[in-house]
Amino acid sequence: MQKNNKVIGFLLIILCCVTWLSLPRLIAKPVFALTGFSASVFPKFSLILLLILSTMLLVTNLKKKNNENITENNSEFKNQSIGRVILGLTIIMSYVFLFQYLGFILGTLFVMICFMWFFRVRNLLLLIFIPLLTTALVYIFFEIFLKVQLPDGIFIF
Amino acid sequence: MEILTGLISGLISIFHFQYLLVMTLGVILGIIVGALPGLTVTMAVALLVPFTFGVDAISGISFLLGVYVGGIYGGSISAIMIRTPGTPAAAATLLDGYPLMKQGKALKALQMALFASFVGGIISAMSLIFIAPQLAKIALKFGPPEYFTLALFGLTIIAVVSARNLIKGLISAFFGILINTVGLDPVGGVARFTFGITNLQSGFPLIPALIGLFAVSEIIRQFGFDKEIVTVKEGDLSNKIQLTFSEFKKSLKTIIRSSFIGVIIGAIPGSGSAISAFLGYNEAVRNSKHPERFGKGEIEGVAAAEAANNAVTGSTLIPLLTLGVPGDTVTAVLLGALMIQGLRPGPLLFERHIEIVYAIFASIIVVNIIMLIVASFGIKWFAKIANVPIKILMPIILVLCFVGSYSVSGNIYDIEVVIGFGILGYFMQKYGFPATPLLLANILGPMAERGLRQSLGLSGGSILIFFSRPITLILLMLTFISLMLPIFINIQDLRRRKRYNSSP
Repeated sequence: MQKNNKVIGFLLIILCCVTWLSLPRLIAKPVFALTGFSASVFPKFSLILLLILSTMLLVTNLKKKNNENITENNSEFKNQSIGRVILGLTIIMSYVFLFQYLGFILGTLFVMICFMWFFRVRNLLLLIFIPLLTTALVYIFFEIFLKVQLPDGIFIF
Repeated sequence: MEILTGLISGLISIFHFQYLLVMTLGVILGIIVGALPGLTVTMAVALLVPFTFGVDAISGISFLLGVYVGGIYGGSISAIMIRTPGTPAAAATLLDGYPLMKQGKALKALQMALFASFVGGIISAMSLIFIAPQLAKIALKFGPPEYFTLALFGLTIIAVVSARNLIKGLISAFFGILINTVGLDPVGGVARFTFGITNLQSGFPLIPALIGLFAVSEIIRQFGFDKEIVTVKEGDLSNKIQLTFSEFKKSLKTIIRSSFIGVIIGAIPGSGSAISAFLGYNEAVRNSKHPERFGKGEIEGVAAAEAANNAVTGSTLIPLLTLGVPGDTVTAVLLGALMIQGLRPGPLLFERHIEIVYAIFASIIVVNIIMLIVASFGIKWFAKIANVPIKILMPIILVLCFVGSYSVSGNIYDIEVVIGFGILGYFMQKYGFPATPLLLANILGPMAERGLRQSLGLSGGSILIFFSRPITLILLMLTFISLMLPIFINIQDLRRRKRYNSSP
């Protein structure tokens, strides 16, 4: 955890410095010149505080030995596989694409089946029934009851 | 007298079939979600906010209050039945709840959890009803300096309380403030960090950010386990040992004490039902004639934890409704829900929409009553919910996340915000940075900025304006104390350890 804290502290310091130097380009000039306190005051205030805190994070972790502060490790993240996290993110991000271009119904069915499969669901009945039921109920509730126009996609379905 | 009249009119206004139906539905959904490990009340409330778009303000808010109250109680079900708290607030309940289940007294434990939650909830509702209007009168005197210092206090205390590491909690808070400067500035309307992208001019909307931070990050975490997590199928109610009236009567003093602890903790921004539950439990142990029985199936332990955690539900609305400052993540969502309905929480809500305020007061009482009735009849069914596999739930929740956030404005950009915050939330929690301060910065950041810039405008640039007003001074002192307290406690702890190590 100390190594992670040092890396994160260092990256945040870099982010703060780069953002500070880029402020004139990242913040538009106002149409009317306002006296006193421009739009960059608050970002600068946050950047300064963030820079101080990131430096403190880096410095305090440089001093510590590696086995201290074991309680900071989040035990809920034990046994995480980076490959599975990337796979999960890929499926989630593909849902955005499918949601727009295949439409809500086809996109949701496809993604739910994939997601359940990779979540280790192997019961065929569940793999078909749960996505169908979920898609149907959500469609009825949002599109018909709440009148939210869900995307139709290129197949208009 | 005015409060009683208002409350009666609030009760009359919500005693319609439509409102009672949505409240009942909310309570049932809340109990179900609360009972499911891996799902949080925050996630449930966030996912269900879009469901309130097509209905009036009272229906929407009373539905979400039902989910909230039901959810806090629901966490005790899986804590007792399968030793896994459904919500963080139920972590103290399992200390005695699970041993009771092992002794064949699961039904007794569930019943005590229910009655204690009900009493805690009602006491909390009363505190909201009698304290909030008085605080609203004080809040009317708030100007820009007060709002700035209030936002600062809210952010720091949440950062302090929600993180194991103070520095990380504060980094989370100020990083949240920084990313919430994306968009048009709230005073001059100047574009900041938009990179020429039109969608970024509106910044990061609250509901999708919330859904991403709490729901999508959890989906990613659950998916990321390299081995299948098998749901423990334990706990049954076949042994019908019920709670007796004398057992309840013996625990009443504990329940009332824990309820008042919950009310006080709930009113402080940043604290939450989990802290309240443990404090209530600790006090019960301290005051008991038989403290050695706690942790081995002492029914008062369940009573104390549940009364304290449900007693937060009403009082946590006090800073939200009177000051417009959410006390925790759930009230942050409720703030979003109120704003979507065109209502801005704060002292002006009491001036311009008092009928809505009294309807909310009445709703919080009624949802507690509905919870008592629904859970009394459905306790055996709710107990089975804890065994539903996560691998079935998570894909369904993913769909609800997408559709729920899309329905906010019908824009794919909102789904992109959900994913972005989901990834951010996952890595933040993995490396020990709490997500709650970042989320609350979405609400408190603009308040702080407006307050700071308007104050400095009023004073001609002098920061002495923050030290020359009594309310700002009090808030600054509280901010200072909240920052120094963990440091002071750490120093004391270090000294104690040095003394222990150096003694022969």
